[in-house]
Amino acid sequence: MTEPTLEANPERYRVLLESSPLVPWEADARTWCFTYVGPQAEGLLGFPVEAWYDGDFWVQQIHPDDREKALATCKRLCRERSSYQFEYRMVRADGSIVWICDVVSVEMRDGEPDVVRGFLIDVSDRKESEDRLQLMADALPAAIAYVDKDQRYQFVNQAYEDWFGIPTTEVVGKTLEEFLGQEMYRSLGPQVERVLSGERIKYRSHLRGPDGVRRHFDASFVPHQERGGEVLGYFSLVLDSTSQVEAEEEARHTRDQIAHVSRVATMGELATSMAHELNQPLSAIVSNAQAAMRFLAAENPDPDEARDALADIADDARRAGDVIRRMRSLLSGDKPQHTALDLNGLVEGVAALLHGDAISRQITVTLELGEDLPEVMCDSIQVQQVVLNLMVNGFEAMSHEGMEHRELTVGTAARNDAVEISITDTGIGLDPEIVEEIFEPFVTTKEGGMGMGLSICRSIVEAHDGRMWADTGAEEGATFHLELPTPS
Amino acid sequence: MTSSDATVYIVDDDPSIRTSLARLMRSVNLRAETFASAQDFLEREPPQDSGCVVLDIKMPGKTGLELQQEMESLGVALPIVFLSGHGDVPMSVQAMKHDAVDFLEKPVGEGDLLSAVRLAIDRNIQARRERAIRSEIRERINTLTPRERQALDLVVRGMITKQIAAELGVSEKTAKVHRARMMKKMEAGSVAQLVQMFARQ
Repeated sequence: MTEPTLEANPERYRVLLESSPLVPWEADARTWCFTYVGPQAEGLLGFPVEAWYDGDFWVQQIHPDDREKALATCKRLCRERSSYQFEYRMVRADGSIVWICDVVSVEMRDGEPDVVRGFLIDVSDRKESEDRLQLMADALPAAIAYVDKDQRYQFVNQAYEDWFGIPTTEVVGKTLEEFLGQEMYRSLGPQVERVLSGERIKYRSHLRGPDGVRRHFDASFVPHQERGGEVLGYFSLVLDSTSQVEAEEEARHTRDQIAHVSRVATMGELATSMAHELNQPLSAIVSNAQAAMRFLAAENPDPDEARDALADIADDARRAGDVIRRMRSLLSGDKPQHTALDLNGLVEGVAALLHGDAISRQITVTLELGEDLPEVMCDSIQVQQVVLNLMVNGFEAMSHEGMEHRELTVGTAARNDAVEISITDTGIGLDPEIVEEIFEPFVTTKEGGMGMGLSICRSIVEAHDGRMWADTGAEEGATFHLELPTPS
Repeated sequence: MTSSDATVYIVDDDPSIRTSLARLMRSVNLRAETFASAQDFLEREPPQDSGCVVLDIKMPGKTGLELQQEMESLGVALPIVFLSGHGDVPMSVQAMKHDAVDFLEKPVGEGDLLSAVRLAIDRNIQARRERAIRSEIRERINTLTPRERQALDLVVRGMITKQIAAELGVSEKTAKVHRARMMKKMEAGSVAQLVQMFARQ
């Protein structure tokens, strides 16, 4: 059909060739002197076609920065391959620059390259958009890379050079293992395997940079998949989150310190109650000691009674020690330590600490502790502080003149993946309109209150991935709930 | 009646305080009974023996001060020694106004509690003795005839037999008989003794 017609008419070949945007050419493989160029050549560089036939026109018009490399590449490849392509810049008549993709085929004679032919293609537009892309990528405050399925870097942005001190041109072509080193590669390996199996990955980690400074980063890997699903490589986006993580750490530290200070303040307010708790065992010790001495010094000594007295002294001394230990544990340490906690034991301990306060306020404290509670991973001191604060708040809500019914109930219960502590008082209750606001700092319903207690409580609970809320009773009182997650 | 027959009633919500105080009392040969709350104590039969109450001022339920007032209104005449966890001036003032023997701060120093308890028991024995005498006098007065009762009043007002006779409108001799019978029934050796008895009841 059409093929023989085209073959039979070389003129049609010429028309087709010379109306294409590609510039056809032919040259002597020894001298690089053109023996033919298409008429489009004039449009490409702005020189008349005749000028192209000057001895070393091509060599002269290659951009000086690319000349050496282009010639070397060309000389090498025309011996090694029958066809190849390479890219370089040429200088136009007006001095402007054009990016060329040169597609070459080689004709050999007697084992030497004889004639080379090919097309010059203006790829300036593509190069420009690549440059724009590179510019954008370099300007981002993130490390961006494209890694192929053989785990070789195909593209990296400037951040790699800034972070690792290695020029981007040297990174490209290296494998992950070569570039990152064995140790870092080992920790990264599993993530790379996952992304290369087609999974999108997000993770947070840290590493020590070449300067020895610990840096935190958030990484996301996106697989590059063909339509058929085969993974060709992946894009990697790594954000330096060091300053964010440091700010979070600082905020946490500040919160722990505030919690500590408020704990000390609470303990100060409870000093009287604590004194009562210490006085009880001390009084018993004094009485028992006096009694024991008398039983032994009597005309008919009673060693049995004396022994009982001594045994009781030992018990009471232990009890006093417990009080002191509980106080000290609440006062010490502004660095939280997460341990497995039995919340029933914790509630009992806090209730014991407040025993004296409850009595002097004429409040009955009832514990309704759930059975078989799972343990939670929490900082014991901070959780005690929350329970202490909520109980004292309840006490204060019931300490107004003329309140007859004064009962505080502390309950614990297992919930789905959590343990709940609820603290219910029979006090003045909460205005439903401010039930949510009371957890905000500086919001208080207490005369002379600072309004920090509940906001500190909530921030402690939230730092434990728990939640806290309040509701008000139908007729009297309020209930505060806190929920702490059980380890999954 | 001696203090060794006395009973100390200990009211405190703290079991180890109760045990230790009871033991301390036994070590000085005092009987001790313990109660965990004011209510428990009030539910007991009113004590007949002499003694005193050692009372914790801060307890769940009824406080020490409330128990003191209730005992007062029920006529339970036992002296009270208060124990408090820490110095609470208004409470101690109120307790002392209502005739508490002492108000001691825990932990109570060596000897303080025992001397307060002894003082309280002595006061109770004294008061019981006083009450016994008063009721004895009252019983004697009850044995008097109306005339003798009149003679008593007049003697106490300082009248001599002659004046009494005039006052009662009887002969001096009759008046003398009433007066002599009255003095005998009252077991008074002299007018001075009689006046003293009369003043007591």
